[in-house]
Amino acid sequence: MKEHKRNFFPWIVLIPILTWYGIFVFYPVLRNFFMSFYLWNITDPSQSKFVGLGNYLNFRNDARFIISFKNTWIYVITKTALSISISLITALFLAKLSKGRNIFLFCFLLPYFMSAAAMGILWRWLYQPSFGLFNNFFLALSLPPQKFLNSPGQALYSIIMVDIWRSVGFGTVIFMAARLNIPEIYYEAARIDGANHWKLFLRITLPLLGNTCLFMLIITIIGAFQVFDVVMVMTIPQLGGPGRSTYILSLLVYNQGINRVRMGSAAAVAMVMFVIMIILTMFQFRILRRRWSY
Amino acid sequence: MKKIRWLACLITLLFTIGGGMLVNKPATGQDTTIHFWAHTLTLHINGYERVLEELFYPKYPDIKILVEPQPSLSMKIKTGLASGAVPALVSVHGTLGYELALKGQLERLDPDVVASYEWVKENLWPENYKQGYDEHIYLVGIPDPIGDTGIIANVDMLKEVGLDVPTKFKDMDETLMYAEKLTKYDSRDNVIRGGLNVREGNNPVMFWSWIVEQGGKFFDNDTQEFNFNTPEAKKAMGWFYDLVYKYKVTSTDLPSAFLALSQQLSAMAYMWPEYAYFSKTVYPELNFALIIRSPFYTAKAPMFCHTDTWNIAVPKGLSEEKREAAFEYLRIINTVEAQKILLEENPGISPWKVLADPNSDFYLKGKGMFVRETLQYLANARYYGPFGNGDVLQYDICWPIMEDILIETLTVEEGLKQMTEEMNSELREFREKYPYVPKTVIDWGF
Repeated sequence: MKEHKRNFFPWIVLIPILTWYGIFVFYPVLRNFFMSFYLWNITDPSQSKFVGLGNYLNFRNDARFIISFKNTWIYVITKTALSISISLITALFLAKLSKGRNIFLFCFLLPYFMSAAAMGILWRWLYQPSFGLFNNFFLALSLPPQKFLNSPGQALYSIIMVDIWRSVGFGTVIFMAARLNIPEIYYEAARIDGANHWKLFLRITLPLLGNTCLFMLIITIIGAFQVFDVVMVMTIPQLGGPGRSTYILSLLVYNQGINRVRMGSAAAVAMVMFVIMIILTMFQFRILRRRWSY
Repeated sequence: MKKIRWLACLITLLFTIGGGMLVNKPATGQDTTIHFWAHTLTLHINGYERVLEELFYPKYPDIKILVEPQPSLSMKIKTGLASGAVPALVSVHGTLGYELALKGQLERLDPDVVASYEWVKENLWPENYKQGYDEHIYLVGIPDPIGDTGIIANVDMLKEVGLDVPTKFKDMDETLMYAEKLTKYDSRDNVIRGGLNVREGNNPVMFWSWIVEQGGKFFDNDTQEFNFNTPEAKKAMGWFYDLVYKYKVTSTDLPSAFLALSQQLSAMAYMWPEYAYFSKTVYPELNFALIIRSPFYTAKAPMFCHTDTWNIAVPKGLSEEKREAAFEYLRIINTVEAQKILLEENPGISPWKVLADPNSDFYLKGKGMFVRETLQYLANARYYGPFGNGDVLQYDICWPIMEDILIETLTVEEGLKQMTEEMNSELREFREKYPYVPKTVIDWGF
């Protein structure tokens, strides 16, 4: 009887948060899934027309979807690769510092607390081709000025760099904490056996940071997939511009749902994003965790 | 003990939430307060507030109207309507107003606020009834200069290079001459100050007007389809393109027209006319003038289009009390007295014909001087619409494709072809979703 009472109590405590999740997370996802099969009429939802997979099949010929799908993948892959690499390298260097580590860490982490709007405006000025700081710097070094956000070929990567700059601090903190938790005795033993820096990194640091890497990989990929604020602030008023070179899936959801009031289509795009992220996360858990777990 | 602590936390949390909800419950017996989401243009806000102080509150002291400027207003209105959380009054431009009206999201204003559709036809400019739906009125217009009338020019920069500030350009050659003289380059021949900026989201309407000025059409009233694969469209779009690549009087490295003018990176820009007046308060150190654009090459006279009217509307779904309070305000807005106040604050062209006398003091020597030249063209103005999804057609398809052409992601021909296909596809889908949307019949004037 006592054991039955003990099992019941946690549920009492969990009910509020589960209710919150149910209302604000599970229900909207289910509702979104339902809407994606309709030409949704927001004025009178009862007039919505059931189209089955129509919204999804339309993506095959939708130039906006194709370009935003491609741009999103470029964003995700570039940001994830660079962000995690830079965070890891920075963390390893900082871990070796005996003095000034906290100051450096604070400086790296500062951009993480900036609002996307402030960050976007700041970087738009830095990137400005005529009088921005970067081109002035290039000109001083007799290098050709760049178009950055005004170039369809450069705009997306320019925004990715801003997002990386913002997120490197967080990754550095996580990696550094994990690195400092690796007992030094492993390194000492390996050095005695003649391991060089590269071997120490490959055979000790990286494997023992495996779970941390997995965590960072998952949240970075999900964050990159869902990015919206930075891209919006940096491309406004021509969202996704110049042309459609920075048009990503989250902007497509926003544009379809809010601007064009095509809620069914927006819901379908959101579901595609959701499914891709679920698959990627499961893949990472199943394939990478097994390899990197000790 | 631990369990008691957890339970205590849970109970405290529940009380906090419950208490918060009780605190937020409005007190009874107070005056009616309604909210008005307005466009973030000081000129509009000042006008609304003055009408409230001078005309509304003396008559209705127990109604309070909170004018709230909102950035990204169109999006806010759409999401507000979708979620059922809307204010009693909203500021909308004509294309959006029509879309909301045909979706049944706005209150009909005739006969409660505006006498009738026929009254509007008789007393107001055509756009004010053409943007009505189903021969009813859903919007009360406020003064607004016509969007595609001309070019905003930095007077100091013109004087710097020895140019006069004309009231209007007599032809495209004069326009180009001015642009060329005003352009500055660096040592690598890059444009560092544009002579005539072309990156403005309202330029599609100018593009359409130029097609019509050449005697062309871009929409078939019978088939209800767009067609931009015409020589007139190519020539009109070619002008924008040539300014960047052939004449090199502007660059896609420069920001959009609004920013380029305020940052002094462009001497002139195709821009909405209010900029000339609104810049006096926002950028008092800068001196801008409106120069009426010339007719397009062989055309005899410029032809303007006023789809981008500014209006006030009442969303559906309000309580009877709030709806009536909103209607009271609009009844006052829809009077000559209120329109005069709004004109004082936001000089332009009133929806009322009687207030568009070019020989009145307001236009001869008052604040309306800068748009006086436009008045002679009002009788010949066009209205390209209404389309149920006019906003999407203009701002989400036409303008981005124009940008694509300007940055050379598409050639002029490819861009016009894509514009035709996308706009037709969008219009078709819209009509499939809302089959009751009436046919669009454009009066081309010829």
